[in-house]
Amino acid sequence: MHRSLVSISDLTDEEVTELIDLSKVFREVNSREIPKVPALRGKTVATLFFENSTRTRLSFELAATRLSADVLTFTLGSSSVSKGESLRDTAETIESLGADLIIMRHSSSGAVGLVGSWLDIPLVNAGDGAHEHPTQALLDAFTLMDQFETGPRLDGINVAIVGDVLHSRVARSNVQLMSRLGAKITLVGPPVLLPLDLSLWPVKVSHSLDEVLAGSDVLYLLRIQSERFSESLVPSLSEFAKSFSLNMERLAKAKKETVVMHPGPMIRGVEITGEVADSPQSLVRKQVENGVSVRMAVLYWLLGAGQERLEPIW
Amino acid sequence: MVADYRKYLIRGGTLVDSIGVRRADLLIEDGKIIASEPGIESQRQYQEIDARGLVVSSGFVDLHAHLREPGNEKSETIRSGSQAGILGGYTALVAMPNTTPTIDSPEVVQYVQRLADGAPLDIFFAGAITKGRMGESLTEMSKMADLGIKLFTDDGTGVQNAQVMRRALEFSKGIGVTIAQHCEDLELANAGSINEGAVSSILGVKGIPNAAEDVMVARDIELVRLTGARLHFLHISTARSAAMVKMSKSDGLPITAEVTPHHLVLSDTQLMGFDPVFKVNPPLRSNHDRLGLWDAFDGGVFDAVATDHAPHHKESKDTTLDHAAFGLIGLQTSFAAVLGELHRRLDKQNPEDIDGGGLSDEQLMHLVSLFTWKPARIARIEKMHGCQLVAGQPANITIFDPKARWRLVGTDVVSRSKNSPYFDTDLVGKVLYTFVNGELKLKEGELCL
Repeated sequence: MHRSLVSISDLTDEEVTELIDLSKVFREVNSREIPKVPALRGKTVATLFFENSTRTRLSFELAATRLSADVLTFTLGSSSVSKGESLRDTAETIESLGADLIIMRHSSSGAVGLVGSWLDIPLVNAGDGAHEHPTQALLDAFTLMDQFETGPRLDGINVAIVGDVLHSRVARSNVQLMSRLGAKITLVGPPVLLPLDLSLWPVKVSHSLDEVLAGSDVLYLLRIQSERFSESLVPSLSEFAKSFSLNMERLAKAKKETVVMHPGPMIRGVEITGEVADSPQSLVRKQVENGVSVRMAVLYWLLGAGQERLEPIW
Repeated sequence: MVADYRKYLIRGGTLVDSIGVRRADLLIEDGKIIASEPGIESQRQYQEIDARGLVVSSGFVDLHAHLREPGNEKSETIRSGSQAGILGGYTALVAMPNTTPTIDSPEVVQYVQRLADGAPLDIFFAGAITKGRMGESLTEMSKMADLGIKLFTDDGTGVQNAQVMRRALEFSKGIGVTIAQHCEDLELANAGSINEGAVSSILGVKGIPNAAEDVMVARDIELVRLTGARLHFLHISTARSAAMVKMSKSDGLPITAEVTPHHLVLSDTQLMGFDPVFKVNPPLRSNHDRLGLWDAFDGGVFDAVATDHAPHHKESKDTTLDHAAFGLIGLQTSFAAVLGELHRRLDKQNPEDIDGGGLSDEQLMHLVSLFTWKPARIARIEKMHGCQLVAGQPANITIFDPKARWRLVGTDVVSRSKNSPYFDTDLVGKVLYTFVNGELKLKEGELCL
C-alpha cells in the first residue's frame, strides 16, 4: 500500500515529527562538500507541473537529484490539459513510463488527489489550485522550529498570515499544520481576499495589518495572486499595498525578534518591500534552503528507502 | 411473449390520491380505471395484482428531467431516460429544452415530439423562453403552445435580464402557459463550482453564494406582482428562497416552487472529498439550508418534488471539480431518496420508536401529492396524470412498497449515465408496478416494455 502526500491532513502528528527529524538529517547531508546520498538510487521521480513554477519544481528536482533518483520533467501549459481525459492520459502515461513517484502541481483544487485515485504510485502535491501545498507548510514549520528553538512544536508562536488568503494553497496548508503544532494564527487581509466562511478554520481574523504588527512573532506574507482574479477583487495593487504592504515603517512597529516569511515568488513593492525582504528579520532565503531538505525528507519517506542508504556517496 | 392483458385487478392496496387515503381495489380496462371500490370480485380474464401492504398512487409526474436527446445521446436518450422514469414510478416527464438543438421553435418542437413517439411513458416537452436560451429574444411561445407546450424555461441558466423576464411573463399570461425559472444570477455565481460556505472555503474551490439564487427569486417575485403572470420556480435550494416563496404565496401571488430530492437529502459536506458526482446546479447547500428546505417542505411551501435528472457520461464527470459538468441523475431513486430521508427525520424525532410507526396518512398524502397531482397541475396535464383513482380516469398508476429498504447498485442504473449520488444512501420505498395509460410497464420491480 503506497502513501501519498496530498494534504497536511494525510499526516499524523507523529509523522510530522518524523518528517521534521528526517529534514534535519538531510540538512546535514546538504551541508556536506558533496551533498548527495544514494538513498533513492534506481528510483525515478517525475515532476508533472500543469501550472508554471520555477522555484518549487527546481527545489523538488534538486531534492530528488541529491537522493540519486532519476528525474523526469514534464511541464505542460494548463490550457492544453484542461480536459479530464487528457489529465488522466498524461498521468497514466507517466506511470507507464516507470516513474516510482509523481510530484504534481495543477491549477485545479483537488486535482492531485484525483490523479492519485487513478494511479498505483505515490504522489506529492506541489500545489493544487487554492487547496494545499503541504511541503511548503512543512518547510515553513521546520524553519520556524529552528528560528524559535521550540523543539518539534510551535507552541505559543503568534503567526499573522497576511494578504490574499482566498486564493492561497500555502495559507490552507500552513493554517492546518501550524495550528496543530500549537501556533496561534491570525489571518490578515481585506474581506474580499479572505474566504467568506471561516467557521472551520482555527484562526482569528483581522482586517488591519497595523493592528497585528506588535503582537506577531511571525509576519507571513502571501503573494497577491492577480493571475487568479477573473474579477477585480481589489481596485489596484497600490490600493492593496497602501494597507497591507509590509514596509520598513510597519516592520519597525513589530518586535525586534519578529521574523518575516514569504513563500515566493515575491512581488516587491506590493505585499512586501525590497528592504523588508532583504532585512535581517527576513527568513525568505532560509525557507528556500530548507525547502530542499524537507523535500528530500518527503521523497525519501514516501519511497520507503532503507536507512542504510544515507551514508555519504563517496 | 407476454400476454397482452387489458384488464387488471389491483387488489387490497392502500389508495392515495387527492381524495385521501383509503382501502379499495381498482379495476383497469382499456387504459382507464373502470371501478374503484373495496371487494371487487375476481374474474378469469383479469390479471390480478396483490397489493396488500402496498400503496397505490396516481402515477408520478416529474417536472424536471434532462433527457439529453437530441444532441447528447451518449449521456441519455428519451428511451433510456423513460425507462429510468418507469422504474422510479413516473408516468409522465417534462423534458427540459436545453438539448441540441434547443427546443426554441415550433419546428424543433415537432421534431422532438416525433422522437418521443413510442416512448414507454408520456413525455411533455418544455420550450425555451428565449431563442437559444441566450436570454435575449423571446421564442414563438404561442405557436409552440398550439403544439402542446405548456411550460417554458431557459433551465440551465436563468433569464438574466429583468426586462426580458417581464416580457416573457406578460406574453405567457396571454396564452395560458407557465414560465419556469432557474434562479441564478450569473455574475454573483461567478463561475463557481460548489456552494460558497465553510466547505468551499476549506477546499479552496470557487463557491456559488446563496445570494445568486435569492436575488433572482426576489426579483422574479416582484415581476409576478407587477404582471400577475404565473411563475414556477425550479429547484429551490436555499432556506431564504423558500421563505420568500412562502411569503409570496401568502401575498396571493400565482407562484409555485419545486424542490429536488438531492437538496433535501444531501448537503455540501458531501464535497469534502472533491467527488464531482456531487457537483450540481444549484449546488448542494449547507446543512442549515437543507433543514430550512425541510421546514418549507413540512409547511407546504413546495408544490412539487422534481428530479432535475441530469445525466452526464463518465468523461464529463471524471475530472477535477472545476471542470466537471453540473448535474446528477435521479429518476430511478427520487421517491425512495425522499422517503428514506423522511424516515430518518421521523426516527430522529422519536428516538424511542425507531421505524415504529412509519408515516401518518397525512404525511403519506403530502408526500404523494408532491409527486403526482400538484406537479401535474403545474405542467397543465392534470386531465391525464395525477388524476384521482376513481372510475373513468386514465389508468396512470404507481404501486410501491412503502417499507422496502434498498440500496442502489451500479448495474441497476438504466440511465446511460451512472452519475447517481445515492450509491451509499439508504433508500426506502420501492416502486413495484407502473401503469402508463393502462399498460403495465413495470411488474414486480422489473421493466416490461
